[in-house]
Amino acid sequence: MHGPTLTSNQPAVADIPRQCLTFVLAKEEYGVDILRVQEIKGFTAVTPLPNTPPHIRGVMNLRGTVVPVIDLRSRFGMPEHPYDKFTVIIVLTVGTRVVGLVVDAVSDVLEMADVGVDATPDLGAGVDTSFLRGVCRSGERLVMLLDIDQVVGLDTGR
Amino acid sequence: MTEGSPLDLSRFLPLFFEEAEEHLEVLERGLMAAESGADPRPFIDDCFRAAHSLKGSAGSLGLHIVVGHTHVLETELDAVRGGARPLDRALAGHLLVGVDLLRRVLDSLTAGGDGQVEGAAEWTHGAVSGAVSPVEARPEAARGGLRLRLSTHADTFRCGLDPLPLLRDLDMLAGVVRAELAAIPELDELDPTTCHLTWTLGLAESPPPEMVDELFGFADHLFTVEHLPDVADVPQAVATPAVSVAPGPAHVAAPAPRPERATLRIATEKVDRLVDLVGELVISQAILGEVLHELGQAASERVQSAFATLERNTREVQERAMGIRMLPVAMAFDRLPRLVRDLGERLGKRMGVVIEGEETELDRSVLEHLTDPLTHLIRNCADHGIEPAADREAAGKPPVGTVLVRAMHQGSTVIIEVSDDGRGLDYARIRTRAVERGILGAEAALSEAETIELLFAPGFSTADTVSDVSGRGVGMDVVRHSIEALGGRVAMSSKLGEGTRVRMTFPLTLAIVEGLCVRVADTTYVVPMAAITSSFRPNPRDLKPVLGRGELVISQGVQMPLVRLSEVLSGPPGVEDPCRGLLVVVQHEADQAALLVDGVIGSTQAVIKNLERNFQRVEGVMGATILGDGRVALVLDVAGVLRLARRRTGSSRVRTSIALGAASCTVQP
Repeated sequence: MHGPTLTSNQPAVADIPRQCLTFVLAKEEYGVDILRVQEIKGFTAVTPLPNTPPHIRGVMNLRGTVVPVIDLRSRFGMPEHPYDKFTVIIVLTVGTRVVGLVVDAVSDVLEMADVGVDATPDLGAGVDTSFLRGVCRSGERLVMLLDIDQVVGLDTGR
Repeated sequence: MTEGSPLDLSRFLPLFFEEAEEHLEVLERGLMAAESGADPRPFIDDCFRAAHSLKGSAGSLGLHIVVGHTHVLETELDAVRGGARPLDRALAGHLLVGVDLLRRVLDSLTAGGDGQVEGAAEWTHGAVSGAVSPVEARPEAARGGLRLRLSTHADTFRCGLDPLPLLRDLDMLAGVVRAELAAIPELDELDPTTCHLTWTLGLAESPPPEMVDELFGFADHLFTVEHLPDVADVPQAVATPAVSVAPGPAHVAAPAPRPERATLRIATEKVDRLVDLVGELVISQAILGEVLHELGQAASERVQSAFATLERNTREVQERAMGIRMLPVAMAFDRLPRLVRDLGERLGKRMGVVIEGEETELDRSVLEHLTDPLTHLIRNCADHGIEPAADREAAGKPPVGTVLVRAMHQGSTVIIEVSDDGRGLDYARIRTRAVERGILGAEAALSEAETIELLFAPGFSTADTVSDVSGRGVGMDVVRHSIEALGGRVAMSSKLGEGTRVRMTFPLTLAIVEGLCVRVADTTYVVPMAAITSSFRPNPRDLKPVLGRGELVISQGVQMPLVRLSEVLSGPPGVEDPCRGLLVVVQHEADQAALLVDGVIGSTQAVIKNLERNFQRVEGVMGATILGDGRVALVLDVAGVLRLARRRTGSSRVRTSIALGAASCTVQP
C-alpha cells in the first residue's frame, strides 16, 4: 500500500485519510475517514430527546451505550426524506464520544491514493463550508470530504 | 457533634501509606538506576515528583516528621534536576539511605508508632548541611542558634487544632522546648477549651530557613511565631521548668514486620466498569423476572425460588459494587475549618465551623465536584451571613459566628447542609434589589419561598460592595447548576436575624434509580419513585383552566398545576383529556405538580446511563436507561420538568406564583 500521491496540481489539504467511507445524502456523495467509523447499522428506532434541535433525532441503544443520533440531511438543511430500507446509521467516534449519523445510503470505500483532493472551493458567503475538509475527484465522481469533528462537535458540547 | 479536627484525618492514613509506598518505589527505582551508573535523567523528574507529592500529602495530614524528611530528598533532587548537582553514585547512595530511613519512619507510623527512627534526624541534618556522607555527620552545634517563641491562639482547641504533632517535629530538629506556664490561670478559672500555652524554642543549630518555613507554614494557624534574639548559650541540657519533648526510646531498631495492607488501590475505570456491568446484571435480572412473571404457574416452584435467591444476591452485589464508589464526605469537608478561618481573618469577623456527619458516604463522582459549591456557600455565610462581632453582641448573640456544615442520610438520599447563625435573609432588601435590577416588577407580591428563588437568578447579588469574597454575582445560580448537574437539589431557607440554611440533597447513588415507567403516546419515560407522591385519574370537576393558560387540578384538597408531559418534553402528543389519562403527582421541594401521562407501565430499577458521555445534558432529563426490550427510555429529572413547565405557563413571576401558590410552601424544610 502506498500513501496518497501529492501531484503538482494538488493544493495542500492537511491530514488526508488513507481510506474514506462514502455515503449518499440527497444524491450528493460525501466521505468520512474510515478509521473513525465504528460500525454501520440499519436504521433502528430512536428515542427522541426533549427540546433539542430537529437534526438531533434522539438516542439509541448501542449494546448498552446510549448514543445520540444526528440526521445529516437535517443538519445540513437539506429537504427531509422518509427513511427507507437503504437508510443507515453510521456510528462514528468523535473524540471520546460515539455518535450515530443518519444518511440516505452508504456507497463505497474510496482509496484516497487513487484520487486527487482539492481544497474546498469558496462557494461564496452564503454557503457554509466549514465542515468540509476538501473535495475528491475520482473520474466523474465528486466526493466531499467531511470534517466530522466540525459536523458533530457543536452538537455534543465539544 | 464533632468539631473538624486533624484527628479526623486519621481515616486517610491507610490511603496515605499506600500512596507513600508507591512514591518510595518510584524513588528507589530511579536512585538505584543512578547508583548502577545508568543515565538517571529520565528518572529524576519522576523522583522529584514522588518526593514532592509525598511531602504534600504528608503535610496535609500533619505528618511533619515525614515532611521534614521528604523535604530534604526533594531539595537534593531539585538541585539535581536544575543541574546544580550531578546525581552521581555517592549522592544516589546517600539518598537511598534516606529513602530507607523514610520507609522505616513510615512503617513506624503505620504501626501506630511516633515515627521516631534512629538515624533519621541525623540523616536529615547531615543531608541539608551539604555533606555527602552525612550519616556520620553529627549535628554538632554550629551556625548559630535559633530562638523562637510560639504563642498558641486562645481558640486553638476550639478550632479543633492540636499543637502536639508540630512540637514533636520541632524536637526532631534537636532543640529545647520550654513551656511558659505563667499565663495559665488557676484551676477554678481555667477554661479547658481555651489554650493558654506558649513555648520558647531553642534550636542548637539553625535549620535551613526553608525547612523552618515548611514546618511553620502548616503551623501558622496554630501559633504566633516570634523570632527571639539569639542567645549564645542555648542550653543543651534541659533546665526546669522546661518541658522536654524527648524522643521516644529508639524502639524501631530492626524493621518492624510490615503491617498487612488494609486497602487496595484500584483504577477508577475498573470500578466504573464493574458498576456498569452490575447495572447490566440488574437489567438482565429484571428481564428474567418479567419472563417468569409471564410464565406464572408454568414456571416451577424450584425456578421461582432459585430466582428469588438470584434477586437477593443481585441486590447485594449491586449494593456492594456501589459501596466501592462511596467515600466519606470528610474528603470534601476537611479543608473547611481552614477556609472559614481564612475568610474570618480576611473579613475581620469572628467565626468558627462545626462539622457533623463527616463519616456519611457519598458517591465519589459527586464528592469530587462538591468542593466548589461548598466553598461558595461558605463564602456566602461568611460574607452575607455572619455579622461583625459588635453587631452580634448587640443582637444578643455570641460574638463568634458559627458555620455549621453537616451531612446525613435521609432515606435514599444524602443531605448536606451549610448553615450559619448570622443575620438571615432580608426579604425586603432582596425584593428591592430585584426590582432595581429589573428582574421583578415593582408591584409583584412574592412569598418568602419565591423571594428565595430570586437569589438563584443568574447574576443576582445583594452584596452592596463587591468584595474578593463574594458579591460578584457568580452566585447561587452557579451553585444550583453544579449541584443539579450532579443529580442533586438545592433549597434555601432563612429567618431574619437567626440565620440562613442551604440544603443540598443528593441521591445515594447516581447509577440506579427506583422508577415508575409511564407511557405518553408510544414513548416510555421513567419517573423517579422518590419524587412521586401519588397517582390518580381526575374527575372533570377537579380541573380548572387558569387565565386561559395553564391548568390546575385538585388532588385531595390541594391545588397544583397540571403538566402535560408530551408538551413539556416536545414529544408526540398523548391523551388530550386528562380524565382519560392518568395524573402522576410529583413533588420537588415545595413544588407539587401533576404530570399527565397516558398510562403507567410498572415500576423498574432503572440503570442510569448519562447523556453527557456521548451527547450533552438535556434539561428535564436525568439520564437514559435501557428497557427490557432494548429500547432507550429517558429518566426524568422532576425539578427540571417542573422548571420547563413553569417556563411554558408564562414567563412572568406573578403567573408562576399563581400557578404554584396553591402548593403549600414550607419555608423551613
